[in-house]
Amino acid sequence: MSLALLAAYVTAVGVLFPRRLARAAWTSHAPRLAAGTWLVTAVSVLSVALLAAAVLVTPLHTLGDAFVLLLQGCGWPPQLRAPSGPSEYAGLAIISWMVGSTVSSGYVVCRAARRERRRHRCDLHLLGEPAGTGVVVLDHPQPSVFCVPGDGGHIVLTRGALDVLSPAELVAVLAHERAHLSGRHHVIVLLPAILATAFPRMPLFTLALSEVRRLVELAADDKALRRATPATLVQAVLRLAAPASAQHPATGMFHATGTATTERVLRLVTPRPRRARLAMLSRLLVAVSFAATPLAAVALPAVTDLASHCTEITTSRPPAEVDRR
Amino acid sequence: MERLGDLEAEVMDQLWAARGPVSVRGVRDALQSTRPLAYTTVMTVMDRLFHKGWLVRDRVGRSYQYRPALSRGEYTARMMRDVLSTTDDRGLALLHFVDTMAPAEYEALQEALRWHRSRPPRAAEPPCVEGETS
Repeated sequence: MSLALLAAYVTAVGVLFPRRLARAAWTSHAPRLAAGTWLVTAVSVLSVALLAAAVLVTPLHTLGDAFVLLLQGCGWPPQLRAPSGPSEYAGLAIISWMVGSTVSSGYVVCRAARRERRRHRCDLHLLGEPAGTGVVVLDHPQPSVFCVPGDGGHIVLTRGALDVLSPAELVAVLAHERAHLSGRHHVIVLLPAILATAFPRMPLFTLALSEVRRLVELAADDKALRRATPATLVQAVLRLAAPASAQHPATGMFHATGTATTERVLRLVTPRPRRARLAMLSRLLVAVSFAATPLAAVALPAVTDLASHCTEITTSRPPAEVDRR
Repeated sequence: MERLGDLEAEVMDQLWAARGPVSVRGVRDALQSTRPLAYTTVMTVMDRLFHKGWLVRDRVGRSYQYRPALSRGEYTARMMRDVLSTTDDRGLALLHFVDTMAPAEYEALQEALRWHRSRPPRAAEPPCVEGETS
């Protein structure tokens, strides 16, 4: 019964909900709340899936009891014992597969990103011209701006970008990149990236990765708007997104982000809808409930018969102390 | 104690500015004008740059003559190719301000912006807005 419920949750929240959330229009107006919802949902589904596998090994209420007993320091719960029977082995195998692939892709993804950043930092150190705190200019004709997080973070401008941007646009661009660095957006993107690498077939994780990437750009734009007008920021985006011309032939390739850029720009020129507080609050509640589900799934059955169990096991302790905890 | 990394950048600047191969002594003498440097320090830095692939060296007599493996422009072009090329990890190592758009998409975006600007500011709805779905 509980296994079916948990599996239904994983299917609904891991497959159906992400498609709905990715289409929702409100995410563009509240990028931080939306990114938070994606992250919370991803963690929630991962933990509920782990729970479902754990249920194969031992019933949910036992699991909850064990959890509570461990929290209370009642000692190692007696319910946990060596597996016997195929379903228990299957549960343990699934758990170790999930934990193993999450940890190993976490290692691989983090190491690759760190290595690439280190290489870029080394190149920048030898090739770039420092221009102000944390800003480096690269002598290259193609207009481009990017930031390399880590080690304090560096914002890189090419000579081509300096040539096409007006001073006000430059302020807007720098504010956008600083927002990436100060908001630690590279860390935020890391979690869905790890999960999408570990479980590439899970729609929630792959959609979370592309959506969180899009949403951090919008969040950085919002922060940049404190220092620049929307028109200036739009102009800066247009100048840097301009297709390669004969003057500076394309060094890279086109990316499949054209639509995202179009939406990003149109969002800046469209008047904001008035914030409907009630709607935002309800979305916040949805996110919170996702976060609470796995915890509740463990805790609820346990709480129901917590009193009897814990007092049985810890007869040496005065019951008042147990109650207070 | 000076950080070796800063010295690396200065040594590369010297070698890129030089016309031909330079010995460790030559680089040290050029840098000496700004501050005193031990011969071994400069040698260590240049050896490191050689092992990192930034310098190539030829043995001339009892010492090495160094020159840059690539010109500054070639290195910069290589780095930019690296930065702008598509890989699956994009967005993890670096965060770009915006990617270059395809010409057709860029045209369409400019068209949409012209349409936006031509409208009176009070007309509220954008051209293609989805209904709130959640």
